[in-house]
Formats: sequence, C-alpha cells, structure tokens
Amino acid sequence: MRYFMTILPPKDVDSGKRPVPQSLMDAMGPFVEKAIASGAMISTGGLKNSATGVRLTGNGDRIAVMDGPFAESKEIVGGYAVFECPSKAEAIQAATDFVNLHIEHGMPDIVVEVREIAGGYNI
Amino acid sequence: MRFFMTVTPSHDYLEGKPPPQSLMDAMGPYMGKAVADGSLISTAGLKPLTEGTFLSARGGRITVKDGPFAESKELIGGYAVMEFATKADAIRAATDFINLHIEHGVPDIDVSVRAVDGGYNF
Repeated sequence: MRYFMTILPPKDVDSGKRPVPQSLMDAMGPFVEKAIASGAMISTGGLKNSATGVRLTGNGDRIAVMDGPFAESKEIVGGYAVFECPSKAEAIQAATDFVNLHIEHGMPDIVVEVREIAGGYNI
Repeated sequence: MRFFMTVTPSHDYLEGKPPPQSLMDAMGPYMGKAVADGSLISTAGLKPLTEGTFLSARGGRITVKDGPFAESKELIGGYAVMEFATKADAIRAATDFINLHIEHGVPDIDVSVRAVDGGYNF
C-alpha cells in the first residue's frame, strides 16, 4: 500500500530562527539511502520555508491569494515522503524511525502525519 | 522550478464525503492535459482522515494518535508535484485547479503552493 507522509517541523525551524542541526542533516542522507534501497521509500522532498509559499483559498466563488509566512497556521509542512509498506503498522514504524532520527539529532519536537493514498498519477 | 501543492478541502470531504460526480469526471481530462504539457509530475488523493495516523514528538517523546484530528485545521486531501518556470505560473495553475472545483460544486477549498528545495525522485 502507498502512504503519504507530511513532516511538520516546529514553527521556529520553518521561520529560520532555529537552524536544522548539522548532525541531523548529516544523518538524513544515509537514512534516505537505506529507505530507498529497501524499496520502502518512493519519493521525498524538503520544501523551501513557508515565507516563500503562497496559499490560495476558494471561498464561495472567490479566490483569495495570500503570500507566506502564514502566522495564523499551527501546522506548516516542511517536507513529504511517499512510502510503499505492506501494512499501516509498517508505515507507522517507518514514520517512528524518522521521528526518532530527529530526536537523536537535536530536533525533539516534530510531527509526522501518515495517510494512505487513494489513487493518483505517477505516485 | 519544482513546486509542491497541497489541497485542503472542507472537513466533510476530508472525512470521506465523496466529491461531486461532475468534478470526478472533469478531473481526468484536466490531469491528462497537465501531464501532457509536462507540468504535472505526480499527484494523489489521500484516503479519509479517519484512516490516518499522527505521530507527534514533544521533548523527545512520541505519541501516536489515530485520525480524525479534530484539533488540526490545515489537513491535506491531496497533493501534486508540478514543474513551472516561475512561481507566478504555479499560482496560475493552482487558480485553475480551484476554479475547476468551484465550477463543479466544491466552492470552498484551499491550495498551498510551496517550492521544493531538494529530495529524492520528486
């Protein structure tokens, strides 16, 4: 089954006030390589910070366009990953490993959301 | 430039209400066109939030919670990875996508447009 995971870092990391620890950046390469080699990780991306983002809101028949940063938002997506796992339990295990990698490398507050993909194109 | 877009519909859709048939019928040709012109790299719709799981680390302790996530406001119904020459083009495409929803009976929807910094196979 295909799973889609969003990574929600702390807001001060997204804003750039708190730098991503170098040891986390160093550990991420081998972690991702291992996940790809095992066939579990299909694709992943880290996003530029939300200050460079845009949010479009359709409300009735009008569209409001707002530039980032989004001060009122509790949750800012920092990155995503698509995983192939035989079961939801294994997807949650993969997400737990990912969170633990952050904890071990100085980012002890991070949220990962795990969702199954219903269907799509080139996923 | 590569862009990552998230689509946030209203909560009833996130919890499994099916989209209007006319929107589903219009989505195929819309996506076919975006694939053909090279702008759409990959896209997916997600299963309802009620089937999702949320892992939260606070101070190094992980809590695992099953959906739905009542306290969350900005939840994702689907996403797309797209390629555009400029951010303005990406915003134009997001506007078209919202208009498609408005025309087909889903007038309340949010799209977030973010540039991808790097990654693997994105």
